[in-house]
Amino acid sequence: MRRFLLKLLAFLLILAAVDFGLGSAIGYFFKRTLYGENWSKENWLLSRPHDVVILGSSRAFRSYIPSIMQDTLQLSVFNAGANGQYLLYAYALEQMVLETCKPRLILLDLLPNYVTQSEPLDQELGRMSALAPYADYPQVRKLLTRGKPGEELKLCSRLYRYNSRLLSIADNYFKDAAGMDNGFVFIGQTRFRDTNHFPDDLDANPRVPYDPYRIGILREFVRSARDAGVAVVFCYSPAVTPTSAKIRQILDFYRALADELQVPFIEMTSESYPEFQERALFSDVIHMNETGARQYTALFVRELRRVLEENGWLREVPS
Amino acid sequence: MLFNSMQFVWFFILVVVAYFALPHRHRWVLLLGASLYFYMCWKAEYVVLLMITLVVSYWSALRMGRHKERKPRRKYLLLSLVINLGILFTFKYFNFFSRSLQDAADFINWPLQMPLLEVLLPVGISFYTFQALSYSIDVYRDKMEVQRHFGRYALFVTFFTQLVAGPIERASNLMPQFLRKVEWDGARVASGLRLMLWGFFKKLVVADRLAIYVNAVYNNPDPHSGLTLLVATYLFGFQIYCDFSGYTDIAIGAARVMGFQLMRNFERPYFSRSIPEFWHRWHISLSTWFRDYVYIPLGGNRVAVPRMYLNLFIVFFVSGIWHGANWTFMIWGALHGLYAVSSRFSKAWCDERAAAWHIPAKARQALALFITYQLANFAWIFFRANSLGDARHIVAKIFSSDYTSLYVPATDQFVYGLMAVAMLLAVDIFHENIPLGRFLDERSRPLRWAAYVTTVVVILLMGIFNGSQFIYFQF
Repeated sequence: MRRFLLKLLAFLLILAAVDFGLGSAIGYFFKRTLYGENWSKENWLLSRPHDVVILGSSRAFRSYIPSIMQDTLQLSVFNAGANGQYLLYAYALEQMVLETCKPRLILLDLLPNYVTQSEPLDQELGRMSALAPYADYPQVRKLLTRGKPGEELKLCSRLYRYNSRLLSIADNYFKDAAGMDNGFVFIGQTRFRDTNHFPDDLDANPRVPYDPYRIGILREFVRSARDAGVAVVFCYSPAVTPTSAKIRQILDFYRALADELQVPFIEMTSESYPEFQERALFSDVIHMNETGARQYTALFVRELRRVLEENGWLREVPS
Repeated sequence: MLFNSMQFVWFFILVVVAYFALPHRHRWVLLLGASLYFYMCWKAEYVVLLMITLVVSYWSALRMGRHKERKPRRKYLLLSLVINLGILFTFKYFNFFSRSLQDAADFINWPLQMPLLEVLLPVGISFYTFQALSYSIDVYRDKMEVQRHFGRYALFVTFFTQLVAGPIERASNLMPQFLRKVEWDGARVASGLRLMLWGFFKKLVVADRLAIYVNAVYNNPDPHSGLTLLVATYLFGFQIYCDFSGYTDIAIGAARVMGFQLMRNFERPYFSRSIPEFWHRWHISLSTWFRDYVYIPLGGNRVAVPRMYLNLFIVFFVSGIWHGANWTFMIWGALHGLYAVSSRFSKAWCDERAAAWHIPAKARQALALFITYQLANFAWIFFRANSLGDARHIVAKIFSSDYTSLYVPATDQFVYGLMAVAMLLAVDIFHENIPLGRFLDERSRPLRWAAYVTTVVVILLMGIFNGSQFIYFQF
């Protein structure tokens, strides 16, 4: 048995060495993939300084065109909105950004279900496995492992961090910045499709099912930015459908929270900006197309500039 | 507790360490305790059903052992059959029959209100019930001596590696192994671990990867083209093979580590050249169970030819029902029954034609393999479809001219699936010609270890680690 155990130990050591070596080699190439739509913009975000970082879901990704904002603000802007991700992902990105290349301002595009229980927490956390390559960041690791020893063990493997990514790394490695604008991807003029409504259960449920854990994360989001000397602005971009009573309640909640935390909140609904009731500006109910994004960003950046000036955050920037 | 969970990895390491640390006479206690814990991790209260099955089959066998003639034994065998099959029927089939009767009554406007039971299907109930029944029947037939030690008998039925999805063991194979003293044997342990590793590859890299595509298509078949449905059907064929045979490999490998030899359950079924051969290679423990306890008692081959065909059809139809309480499984079983009957019926004619047309043996084998593969995949449509309506829709679409588009939600994920199938086929083709275990044993250690390390690397890079259920757990 002793001989077997020694052989097993030797095998495990070889395995660990291969895992570390091969995993590090894949990591080397992964960190050089900057221009893919998914799973590589985080590398760009973390590899150079940006004055303004936009965080949020696919709505953030599809609504804010950095070059338009840069022209007006004279600040470098990066859109790190992520398809299929919500508050926890934005929080994880924020933690990484604060640790590596502290920006001057973080814009968080809010989604109604960021602070509700409309999706089970485990499901949202499960989607965050996309951040496994960044498991060396303590906050990211904490979210990924959720205190489960099994998850912790998996993340010890360098190779596991690149699970299901080899092909996309190879694909993204040879991509250039064509069609991209600091994280934003130009998708052209798409036709409207009546899909992607906000979660139905928000309307079905008589009360908004607020999630204390997620609200805590939102507070932590603001607190950690503030501790690092980074300003935060909440924003809400329009959806083509009228704002329902339930979403209105959540927006009121966000406003109250923003007041409490002394965070400016730029709220742009299709009621306050009726031009966004036009379906030609959207590719589906909640996502703008390129024309919509251009129009929205131009309006938004004027509001943002006003907010920044009011707070004295634009002092050293030439007008 | 799932084999593809970290919980099982820790559990297995602890059990193996304790197993070899304990003296032989106490090991059965450890294994029985571990097996019951393993089962109770799923739903603790359903262990009561398992205990009823154990007590009834044990007690009836003890009673049968008191009589030399078969006649007085019969009532105890019947008791075991009625109670065990009664539990199986209640938990697995009652709601199905109730709903079917209700539908029939509604159809003829008969005011009937059939009750429904609000129960969960106990995991592995079909497997352990059949294992316990095989013991009762073997004792009745004098093929097995009565096991008077309740603990050892309970361990035979509940042994954790094969409790929830087989192989469905025979008492004559497994029970004597519990009495044999097992010594540590590094080569055997390594061979068991190697088989487990291959099982994990099949489950995590192939089955769970393909499941993403197959589920997306089969759970919503309406918008998909015939081409997409055809591709999803072929991929399901590989998914279910790897899901089930992966489970079996882990089960056999884990048992081998502790010195137990479980029966083979798969022999690369997609290389079969006829449907009867397919069933000699697919879920072998179930096929042989039905052969020994249903087909032969019905008369088997020793009856008139039409009756033999009927027996054959009955066996496959019952096998379909065994799989699940749904019309789709019955049609799947009936299809295999028809395949098997027509294969037997046409064999002589096919041989004659092949000889008359001078078709080379290789070409004939390739054609037979191709046809068998297509037939098996056609039947899988009914096995996988969520309802009979879905199955009808899928078949209609596949046989339509709607081959214009292929649904590929994420190209890289789809490519991983194809790569996984290619790797599986490469290994299986090799193994079909040269037994892989022996081949590896004859290689030098660096080559062997390189193969193992490569497998682990592929699992880490391409496996799906979402801890998904094994398909056969639902049976």
